[in-house]
Amino acid sequence: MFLQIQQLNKTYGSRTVVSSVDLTMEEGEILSLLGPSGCGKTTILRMIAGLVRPDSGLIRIGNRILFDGKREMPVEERDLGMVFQDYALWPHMTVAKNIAFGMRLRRVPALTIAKRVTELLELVSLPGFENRFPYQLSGGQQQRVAVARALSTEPRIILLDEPLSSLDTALRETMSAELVRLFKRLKITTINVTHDQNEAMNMSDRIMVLRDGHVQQVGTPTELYQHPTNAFVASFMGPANMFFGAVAQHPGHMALHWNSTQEIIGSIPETLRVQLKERAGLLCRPDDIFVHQKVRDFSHANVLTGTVSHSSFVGGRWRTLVAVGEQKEQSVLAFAPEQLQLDQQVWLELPPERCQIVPEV
Amino acid sequence: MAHVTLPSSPFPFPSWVRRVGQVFVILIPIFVLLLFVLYPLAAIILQSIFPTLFTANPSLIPNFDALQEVVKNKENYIALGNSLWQGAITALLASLIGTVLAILARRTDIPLRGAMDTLVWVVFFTPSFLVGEAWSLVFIRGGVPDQYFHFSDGFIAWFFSPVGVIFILSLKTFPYVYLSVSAALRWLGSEFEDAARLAGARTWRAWLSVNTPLLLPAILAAGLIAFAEALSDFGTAATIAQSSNVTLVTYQIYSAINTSPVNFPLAAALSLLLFISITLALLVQAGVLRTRSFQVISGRSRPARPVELGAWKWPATLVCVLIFLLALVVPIGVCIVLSLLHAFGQGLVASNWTLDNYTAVLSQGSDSLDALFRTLWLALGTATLTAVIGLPIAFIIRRTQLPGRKLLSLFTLVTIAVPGIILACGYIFAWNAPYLQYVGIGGDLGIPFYGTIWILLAAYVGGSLPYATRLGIGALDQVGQNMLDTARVQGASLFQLLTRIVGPLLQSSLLSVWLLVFTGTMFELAASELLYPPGQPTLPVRIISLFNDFKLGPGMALSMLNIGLVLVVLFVLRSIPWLFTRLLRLGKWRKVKYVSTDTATQ
Repeated sequence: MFLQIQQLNKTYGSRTVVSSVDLTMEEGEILSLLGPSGCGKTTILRMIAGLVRPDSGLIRIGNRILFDGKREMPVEERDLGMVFQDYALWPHMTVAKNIAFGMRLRRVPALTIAKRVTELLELVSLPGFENRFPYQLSGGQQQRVAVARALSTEPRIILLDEPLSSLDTALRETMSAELVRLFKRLKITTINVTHDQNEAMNMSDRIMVLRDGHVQQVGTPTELYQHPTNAFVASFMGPANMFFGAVAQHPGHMALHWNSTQEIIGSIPETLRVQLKERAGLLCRPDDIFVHQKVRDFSHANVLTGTVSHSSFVGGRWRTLVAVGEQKEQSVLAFAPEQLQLDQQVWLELPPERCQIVPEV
Repeated sequence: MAHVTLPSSPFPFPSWVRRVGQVFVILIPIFVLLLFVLYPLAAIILQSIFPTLFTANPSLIPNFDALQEVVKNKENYIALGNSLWQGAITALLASLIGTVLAILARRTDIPLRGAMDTLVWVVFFTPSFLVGEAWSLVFIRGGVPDQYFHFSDGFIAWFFSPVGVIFILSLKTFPYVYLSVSAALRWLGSEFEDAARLAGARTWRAWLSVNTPLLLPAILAAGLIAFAEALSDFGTAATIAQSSNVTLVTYQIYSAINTSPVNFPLAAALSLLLFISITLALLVQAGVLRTRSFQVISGRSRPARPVELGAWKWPATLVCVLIFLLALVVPIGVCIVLSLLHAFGQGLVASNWTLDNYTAVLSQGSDSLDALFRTLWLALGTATLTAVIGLPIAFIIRRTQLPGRKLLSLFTLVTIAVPGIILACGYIFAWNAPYLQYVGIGGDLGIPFYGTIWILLAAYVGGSLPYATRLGIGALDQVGQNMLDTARVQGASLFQLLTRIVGPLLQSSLLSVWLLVFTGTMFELAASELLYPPGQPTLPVRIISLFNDFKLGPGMALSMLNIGLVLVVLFVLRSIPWLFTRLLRLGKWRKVKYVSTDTATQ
């Protein structure tokens, strides 16, 4: 256990931003804090950095206690690396000076600094950029310099505050892959804050999903995608069709009363079953749904009928929206093998083994 | 990656050293503010209520005699009244001149518009005592112009009256309005006037009925600042107002202290009333500015189209030329001419031209030359100290969570317009108090402070610190918080953050503050008059005493040297960045030959 956070709390006035957050990380692990804006992910990061003082809790890195509820280690003594969303390169310094700043504060000999600046710039694929000023660099290059600067003091933990969000989509993909390779190679423990689930899944060993300051679930990307612990995580971790209704306990299987006539069968892991209340959600990913144009003999009852409300060709597949329900009140996303006519009646098959029942929140 | 080991302890200092450093960065500037601004101002209030507090036998029995004396004694309430009504008319005139010039410069195709900003700044910096003195010499009986035009008695009597005083004060205060209205015009796009014109209004009608009301809050706010500045002006009060037998309150404070019988309680009471008037004006101004939000609706507008003046172009130009003629060309011209004449009574004849005045004031060991150097180093010191101390205070107010920072902010806001004469008055009470002997300051045994050159330096710093702080706050607002946070995360202490990141980032604002304070100190008269050590006058004090002894030639020569010196420093400082970049480029060109990271490691 390298980083340990216990019962971290922060409120601004009457607003709770972070509530009872627990987290442990192993050395060299890459973890993403994921959630919509205002979920407290950045506040957690800034509390680890020391830029925001927690109300209570414990933060420990290695054997150093950064915060124990009373005493707080000053920011400048925490020895961390941090990369900001806007890079925050100092405009009055060259690339080399930006990177050298932390080392100069630590009285590292000039020759060592020069050598290390060159190494770091090679590491982030910007060799020979020492004497450029930040304004002479593109967004991606500034990003790399910011990473090099954060690495310059050899921190054992690096904090990333949405560093990829201001890059364009293509660059974001390459940068995230590059960063993961770099951090893995250096065995640096990394905490990455993001609101983009693709980025989180791309980069992380584990992801912590947050909502309104509460931890929803912590786990590997596959765990979160395949076994979300509630409806929020389910819909946040990628495209999801959620159906809500009353839980129906049947011998041998479980189902959801979606409406007065329709029951949808699904499964639920034992650990979550205890959390179930009267109502629950049922998750079926668009990829798992079969779209049929004709009614046929289905081996199970998980078939919804509806009409096509939208059909578009995205990413090599026919992305199809189907309005289902008694009043056609719910839109279901599925992928059809061919283009379908608007208002055409279709049957959606939701294989029961692919349907999961999850607690509502 | 080759592994380079950094020193095992990331910080070379034990953390308590860093903490102490942090405390110093915070405490010293606040201490300066408390001792050299708050304490003297508090002393004025205390002095006017407890007249014996600062004597050898202090007592805490309140006594309102001094405040009553202001009401009872005719001279006193007339001085206060004069300042108030003449200040009010000045504010009106200054608002008119400043607004017209700003609109002409920003929104029309008038020929002079490119040079207007510079000219206004020059007017802003020209000391009022010089403008006042120059204009009195223009219309004085027997003066050079009088020798040619023979002014009538009626005209001279008309000018040497409140008319002349208001005239000079208006010429000195319109730059405040100009700058404020210019800033407001920048936010006011052409959309409103376009809409009015589409509705069928002519250009002048659109301006009058749409743009003027929109600009009114800005004009009103600036007018109040002009009023406060006119109230606190001492240079005019000491020159033309004196020649016109108009006593203004600043001069009354000065005489209460400087002519026997010395009346400290009265000086304190007058200062207090003056301070209250100014603060009230500024509070109203802040209130006016708060209602201004509707103006910004058109914010981030595209650059507005200039109005074509057409046939009005030349009359408008004439008005502009006339204003700068009156505010700048004539006064400076008179000063230059007089500095080159033996005796102004002899007129502009060949035998009367001379450089003697300059050689006299510049001669080795002359009092004037001493005064010149004294003021120069005082101004350099004041500007540097103010910039160095103002930045941490601004930083504390804007970028820390320290308790009391709001109070600090309010204090700098309230004291921003404290006139030099009031502050100096406070210094006399606060730093000449007998009880200071017990803490080792003054008296026979203590460290002398009052009556030394150092109290002058302290008063200059105290007088400029509030506005330097406010300017610093404005500049700090434009620096992203992340840039500062990054430095902290990288291991920078508060001191290192200020010196290596904030300072360099605010370089150009710091330079502006430095220049503003430097120029202000070079021409500072009010505080200098009250606080200069015996026998060691500053330059403006020396100039005024030469004027008073009717040594006009040497006085004017010294004034020209004063202005010249400021210009030289302005020029040098403006060219330093240019020189610096040139040298840097040279250096870089050479460095390419060996290790390219050298610049990073030096």
